[in-house]
Amino acid sequence: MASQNPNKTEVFGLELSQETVKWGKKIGFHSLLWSLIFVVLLPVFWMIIVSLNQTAFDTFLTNPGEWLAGVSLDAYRTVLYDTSFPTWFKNSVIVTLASTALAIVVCTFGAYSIGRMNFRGRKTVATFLLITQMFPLILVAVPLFLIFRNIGLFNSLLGLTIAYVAFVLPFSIWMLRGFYENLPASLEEAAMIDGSTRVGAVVRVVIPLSTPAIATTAIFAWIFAWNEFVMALILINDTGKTTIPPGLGSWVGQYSLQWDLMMAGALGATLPMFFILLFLQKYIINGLAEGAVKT
Amino acid sequence: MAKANTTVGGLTIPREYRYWLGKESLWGWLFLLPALSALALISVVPILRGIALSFYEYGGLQPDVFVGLQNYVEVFSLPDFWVVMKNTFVWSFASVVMMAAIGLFFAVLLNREFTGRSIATTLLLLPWTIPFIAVALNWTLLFNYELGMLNGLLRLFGLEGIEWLGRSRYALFSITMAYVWRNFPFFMITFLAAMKGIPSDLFEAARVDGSTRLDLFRHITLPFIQPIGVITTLLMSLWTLNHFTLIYVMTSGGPGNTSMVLPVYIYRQAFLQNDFGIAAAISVVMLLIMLGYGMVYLRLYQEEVGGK
Repeated sequence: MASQNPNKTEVFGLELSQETVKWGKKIGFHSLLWSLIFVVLLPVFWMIIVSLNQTAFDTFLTNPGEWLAGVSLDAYRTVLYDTSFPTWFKNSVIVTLASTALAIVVCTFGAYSIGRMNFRGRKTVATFLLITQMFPLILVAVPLFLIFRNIGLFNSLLGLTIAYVAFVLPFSIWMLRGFYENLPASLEEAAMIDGSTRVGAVVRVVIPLSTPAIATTAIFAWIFAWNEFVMALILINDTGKTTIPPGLGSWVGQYSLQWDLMMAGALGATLPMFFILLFLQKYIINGLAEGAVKT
Repeated sequence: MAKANTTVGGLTIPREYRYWLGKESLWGWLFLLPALSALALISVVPILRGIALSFYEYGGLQPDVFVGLQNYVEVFSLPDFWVVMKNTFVWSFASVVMMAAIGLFFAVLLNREFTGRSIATTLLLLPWTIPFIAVALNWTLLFNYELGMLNGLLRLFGLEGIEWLGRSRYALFSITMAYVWRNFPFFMITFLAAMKGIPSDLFEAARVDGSTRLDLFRHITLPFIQPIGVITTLLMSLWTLNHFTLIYVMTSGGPGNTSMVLPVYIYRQAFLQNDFGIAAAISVVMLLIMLGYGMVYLRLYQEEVGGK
C-alpha cells in the first residue's frame, strides 16, 4: 500500500518517509565520498607518519603506541642542516620564480595575439603550438645538452629557466587564447579610440581584466618548473647547482635505509605546492573552465 | 559599403579593426615574437639537431661520422627496443584510461551540491600538487617489501607480501598505480570545469520530463564534456608518453627491461652508453610515433579540437 501514500516510499520492504529517504541518501553519499578521499590520501598520511618516526612505522598499524613514543623532528633537522636540500630548494625557487614570471609576460602577449588579433598566419601558429606538444621531451633534451654545452648555458640556472619558459608556452598560450577569444572586443577599442596605443590598451585594459586567466597560467608554469626532472638532470651537472627533483633523486640508493629523511625531503618539496593549491585553487578550476577547455 | 571591410596589402581587415589598418598584422607578429623565438631556440633547433644527429655516429671529442641509416638499422635490430616499445604503449594506454575513468568518477561526485564540497575538491586535488620526485620516493616506500604500507595491509589480512617493484610481472603495473594516483586529479578538474559550464535549466527541463539520473548523465553531461575530454586525453597521452621521473627513480626500467619505457631508454643510450647517435635515432622514431598519433587524433576529433 506504500505507493498510495505520496509521502512514503518503500525501500527494501520498509515503509519510509521521503524525509528519511533523503537523509539516508545524504549519509550514504557522504560516507562513500569521504571514505574514498581517505583512501586517496593514505599515501600522504603515510609520508608524514614515516617522516616523524621511521623506527616503528612498520608496526604502526599493529602497535601505534610504540610509534607515538618515538615521534621526533630529527629527520627534518637532518634534512635542513646536514644535506644539500636547502641549496636545492633555493635553486628551485629561483628557477621557478624566474620562469613563471617570464612565461606570464611571453604567454600573455602571445595568447592575446592569437586569440584577439586578426592577421594571416595566426591559425598556423596556433596549430604549430599544438604540434610542439607532440615532440618527445627527451628528443629535445639530448641535443639541447650538446647545444648548451657549446654556448656555455650548460650547468646554469639561466639555461634551465629559458628551457622551462619554452616548455610551458604551448599549453599556456593555448589556454589563455581561449579566454581572450571570449572577452568583449569593445574594451580595447574604447581605449584605443581615446588615443591609447595597442600595447597601452593591452597593458592598461586587457591584462587587468584577464588576471584570473593569467593566474592560471602562472600556476601551470609554477607546477611545471617545480616538478621538472629530466631537463634538470641533463642540463645541470653540479650537485650544488641543481634543483630539488634531481637532488632528491640522488638520495635513492644513497640514503635508501633512511626513509624518514627521504619522506621529510619529499614533504619539503611538496609544501610550496600545497600552499599554492590552498590559496589559488579556484583559479585553477575557473581558469580551465574559461580557457583551456573552451574549444 | 561592403560591410566596411578594408583591404590592406592583400589582407582583409574587418570593420571593427579599421582604426589600425595594417598595423594589426605587425603588432600580432611582434606580440608573438618572444614566444616564437623561445620555441625556436629550445624546441625547433634542438629537434633539427637531433634529427641530423641520428644519421651520424657520435664522436664525442672527434667530429661525428656520417653513417646514413645505420643507426636506424641498429635500433630496429636491438631486441630491447621492441620490449621497450611494447612497455611504452601498455603503460601509456593503461595510465590514460585509468586516469580518465577515476577522474570522471570523482568529477561526477564533486559536481553535486553538498556541504564541504570545496574542502573535498581541495583534498582530491592534493596528489596532483605533489612533485613527481616526492611521489616517486613516497611510492617506492609504499611498495617496499618489508616496510611498505601495501604489504603491511596485505599481512594485516593474513596474506603474503608482494615484491611490487622487484618482480618483473608487477613493476610496470606498480609504477602505473603511482602515476594514476598522482595524475587523475587533472582529469577530475578539467571534467569538473566543463560540468560547471552546463546550463542548469537543461537538467531541470530533463528532470521535469522524468529522466533518471543516469539518463541525465548519458544524454547531457557526457556529450557536454566530450570536447574537453578529447583535448585532455590528447594532452595527457602525449605527456604520459613523455614521462620520465617515476620510472627512472623507482626502477630505472628494471628488473631486466620489464618497466623500461622510451624516454628512460633514450636517456640510458645517450648518457650511460654515451651513444648519442643511437639515442637520437630512437628519439626520431619516438617523434614519428607521437606526431603520427597526434595527427590521427586531431583528424578524428577535428571538430572538438579545432572548433574555433
